[in-house]
Amino acid sequence: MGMHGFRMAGADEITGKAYDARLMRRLWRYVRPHRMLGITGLGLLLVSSLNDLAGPYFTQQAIDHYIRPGRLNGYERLAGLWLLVLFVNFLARYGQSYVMNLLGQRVMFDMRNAIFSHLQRMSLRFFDHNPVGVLVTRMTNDVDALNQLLTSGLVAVIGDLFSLVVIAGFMLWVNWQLALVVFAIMPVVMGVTLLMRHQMRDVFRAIRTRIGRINGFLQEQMSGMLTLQLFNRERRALEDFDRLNDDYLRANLRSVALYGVFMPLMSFIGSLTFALILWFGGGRVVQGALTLGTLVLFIQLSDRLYQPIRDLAEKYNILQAAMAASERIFSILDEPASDVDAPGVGRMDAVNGAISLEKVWFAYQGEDWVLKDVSLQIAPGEKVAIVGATGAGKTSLISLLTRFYELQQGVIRVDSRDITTIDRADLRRHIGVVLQDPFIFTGTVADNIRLGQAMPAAQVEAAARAVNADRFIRRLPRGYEQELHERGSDLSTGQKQLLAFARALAFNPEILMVLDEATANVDTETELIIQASLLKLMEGRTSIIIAHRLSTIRHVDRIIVLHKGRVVETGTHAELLARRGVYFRLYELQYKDQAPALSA
Amino acid sequence: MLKSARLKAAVWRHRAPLLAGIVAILLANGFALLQPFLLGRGVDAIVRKQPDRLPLIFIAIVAAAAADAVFRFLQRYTVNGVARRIENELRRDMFEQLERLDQRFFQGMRTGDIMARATNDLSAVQQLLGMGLSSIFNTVVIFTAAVVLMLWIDWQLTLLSVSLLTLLSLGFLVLGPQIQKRFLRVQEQFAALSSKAQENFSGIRVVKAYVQEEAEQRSFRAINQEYVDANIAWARINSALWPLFGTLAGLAAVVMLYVGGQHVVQHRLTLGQFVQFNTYLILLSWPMIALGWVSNLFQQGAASLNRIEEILHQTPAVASPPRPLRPEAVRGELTFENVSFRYVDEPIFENLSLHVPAGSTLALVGSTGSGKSTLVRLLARVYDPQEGRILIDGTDIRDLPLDVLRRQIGYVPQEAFLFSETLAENIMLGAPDAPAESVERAAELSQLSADLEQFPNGLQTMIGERGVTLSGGQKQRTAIARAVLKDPAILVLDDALSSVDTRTEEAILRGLRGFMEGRTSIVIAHRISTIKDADQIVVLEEGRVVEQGSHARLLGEGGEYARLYERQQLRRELEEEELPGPALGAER
Repeated sequence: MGMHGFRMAGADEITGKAYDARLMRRLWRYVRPHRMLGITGLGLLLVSSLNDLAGPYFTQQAIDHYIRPGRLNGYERLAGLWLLVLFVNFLARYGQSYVMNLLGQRVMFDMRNAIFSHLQRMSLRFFDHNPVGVLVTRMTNDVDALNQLLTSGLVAVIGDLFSLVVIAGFMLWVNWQLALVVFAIMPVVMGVTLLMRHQMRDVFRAIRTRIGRINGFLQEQMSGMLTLQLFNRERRALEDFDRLNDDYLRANLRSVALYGVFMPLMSFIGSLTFALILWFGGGRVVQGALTLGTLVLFIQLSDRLYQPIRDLAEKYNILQAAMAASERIFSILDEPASDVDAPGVGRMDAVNGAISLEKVWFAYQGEDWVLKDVSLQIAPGEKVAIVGATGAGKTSLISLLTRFYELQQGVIRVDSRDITTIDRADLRRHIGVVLQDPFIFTGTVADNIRLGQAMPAAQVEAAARAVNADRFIRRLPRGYEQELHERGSDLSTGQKQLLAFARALAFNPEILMVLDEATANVDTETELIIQASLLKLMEGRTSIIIAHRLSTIRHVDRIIVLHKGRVVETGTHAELLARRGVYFRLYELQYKDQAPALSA
Repeated sequence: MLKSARLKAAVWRHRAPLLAGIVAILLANGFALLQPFLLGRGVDAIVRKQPDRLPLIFIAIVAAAAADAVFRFLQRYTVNGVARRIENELRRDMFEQLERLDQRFFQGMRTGDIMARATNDLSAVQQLLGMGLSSIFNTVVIFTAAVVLMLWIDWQLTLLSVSLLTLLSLGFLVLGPQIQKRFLRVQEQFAALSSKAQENFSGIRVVKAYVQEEAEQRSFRAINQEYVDANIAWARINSALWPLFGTLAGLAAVVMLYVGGQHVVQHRLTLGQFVQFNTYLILLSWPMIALGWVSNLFQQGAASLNRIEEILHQTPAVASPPRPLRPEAVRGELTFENVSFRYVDEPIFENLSLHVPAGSTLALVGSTGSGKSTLVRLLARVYDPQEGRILIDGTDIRDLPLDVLRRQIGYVPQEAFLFSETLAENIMLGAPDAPAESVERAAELSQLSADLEQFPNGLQTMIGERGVTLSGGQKQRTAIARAVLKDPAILVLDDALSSVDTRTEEAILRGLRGFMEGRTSIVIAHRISTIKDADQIVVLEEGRVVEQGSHARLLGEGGEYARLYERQQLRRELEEEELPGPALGAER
């Protein structure tokens, strides 16, 4: 197994600084609009820190002014005042927590919107290189880690420091000699805390890495369970798992032991402190140099003095994780938007639909040319089928015309305008694309046709009727308002295809590009419906069909044969068959068997 | 939760450290309660002006505190350690069980669901055990002891202040479920937010093609807002929890101060006892909160344990027979006798019968969904047929131990699964003790060695997520080497050459020819070139044998097989045709 769990865990590993001024300045830009909330929260925090002194103070007052002298007139007032402070403290603490949550949520809201919007402006190349899961993690978990920084990290640190100063100052003010006795123990507390923090950091890192390894292993074994079983590897896999599981247990036991030492040690130091106060202070009370109430006050305060020190150590980890998360988030936001137009591109309102490709070269990667020196002219309203074996470069045509990808050499024109000089949103609005995977979004059937566009129901239904999707939609329990599951898992492949046609038709584009993959698992009847719908969709538009259906090919004006990235033949079905070239063989291979189905 | 036999057994197994922990809890609490008593005596000594007693009291407090710390450490170490050990055992049990379960189980439950049980649910149980085991006991001990001591000092004051403290437990019981409910909504909204982002990124082509970026931003904003709203609704209650505890504890302290002060003045209480009493109240507040917390954790923990036990209680549908036969040597004669099988409703086979003589090669041809892969999976008992039987050398495979059966089958699937280990380790999957030369030979036979120089460390190269990514063809060749090294009596190639080019395929087949000699082989392929030399070719269609015979015979019959052959010849011609211009790299 060795150390190969390392890189995976390393992706989320916290190794960086707990405070990075550059990152903080960038974060501040998101906090700034909500700074009033921050100030309010901070104010309330300070109020509640002061109120925390109330308990010890009132006890001192009670002992010195009422109980010891044995005079109880006005004692109710003292109790009443304390009750009032308790109530105010409740409000302040509640308000502080609520307001800080509000602040965190608002900042996170803005930040998630910013990331999402930014990603909408990224090109497909970006999405090719960044797995969806990673992008989702940036938007969710990493942003939440930042939230921790705001709600419990930064503010709590300020609050802790403030408490520390207030309590220490108060002690000095009440009795500086006794305060110094208490402070004498402070270095011990700090030393123990720092030592502990150092140890804990390593242990926590080990725990995180090791649980990551367990889960990674588990995930992998589960995916490969059949292989594992067929090769009788159960026992050895269990041994590997035991090793990881026991490693994790050991790390956990170390943390149990560390906490087991730390917590009791801290409470021992607490006891030591109050015993010291009792010894030193007791003598002074007897001498009359100190009141008994003050002694009790010190005993109660000493405990509260250590709390912020302990908390500060814990906050360190939160800060570190948040800094690492913000680093990852900003690295995405820093990626330049790659699917946006250069300034000065022109609008495009009306489109005739003439398309031309001039000496186009294109590769997804390096020099792996997918299209080689391709030139094509398509007249407005012309219907063209592109055919070729798999890997001939057909689909990249769609990617280039819609500017999903940029070509390396050559020019593509729509209505004799170079498409790189046209506003890309405008360009895409005039091109209807039906992809091989008819992507279905969660939402209603109608939503899936109109997408985000404001579109009257009549138009949606008309589109569905035109492509024969209406029939199956009406049979759904809630018709057009039927909610569809993720990825349309409750629809058949054919139904999804029809829905994608309806979507394309509803947007009524002048140019149509269809990836017409012959759909598997579709019965003959549906197949015939899809064929008819596709023809309907092509009516009156410049259409480029990446065709796999003979029926489609027969109905186009011209067939273009791509072979290994080059245009090798063009012509009508009959012409090309007569040439007995590449098309002839493709036909024999892919389309011939479809002939009987067509005549049915 | 307490009804779980598994948990009871686990607690019983760890009884020694748990018992030690309980003793530690008793002692630690004893010493903890001693300190306020000593403090009280110190205060009384001051009031009575006897400062010479103070050094002794100081030493006594420090000694009690030290003993308290030692036993507290023992308590944490034993009890929390046991909780971690039980978690470890539970996780192991779960993995062991998952290894026993069959494919039907894995198809019925999504990997994400299983993972959730192995991670979130397990940690919920662990939390409950860690917090619960020590907290409940600790609270009971300290509460009883402190209350007895307090009653002894001043019963009126005790009743008043302790009744206020019980509100702390109540606070959690009342607010806890509310917080939990709202937190669930936060989690649901979080899932919705993730799905929205996930969907957008996966469907980005459609989004861009239809210029829906702005509409998508709007709908994301709406979901984002709902997530924020759910969080704020949660914060509205959750923010009250700790301030409420502080206030309730404070309330008890006010009552204590007010009533207790009067009792001191009336000489029913010494000032030292007053201070002592006050300290007890502080000492009690955390255990009271913890009690409420634990009872809250209880429900979640119980639900989580149920979900875990749901997996642990599954009976594997495929398992070794209780009294298996142990065959001497396997020759590899295969017989399918009237086999009927269905995954759910749709029958895959009905009454299928086939015979493969030992040492011969059977080729299976047919379109996707015709049942070829299912047939070989039945042979390896990935599934059992509903009717009929499958025999190896005349023995029903269900009478053989599962590992003995699978030991004899070298199965190469189309989608080879490789583990994140080295190439060599992957090849040695079924033969972990094979010598290095054998591994190299297997790699040579499968033509994997031709690619080895591409890898930084040859056979020792780490592959998968944290190493080199292999191409489809390289994966297939690794899987073939893996099956070969296993030295099985029966070799199964389930479309195992689909991702290698024709030339490599020929080389692999040439290499395998010697290996297949004397072994029974089943070859599933789409390319006729792969199978034309098989002793027996079977064309399957919707689970039925439609043609059967040798290559020459089937060609002569002019049926489905002959048509397939003809088309492949055409394709081959087309592929081989080079057009003018430079031939450049792989295409997309």
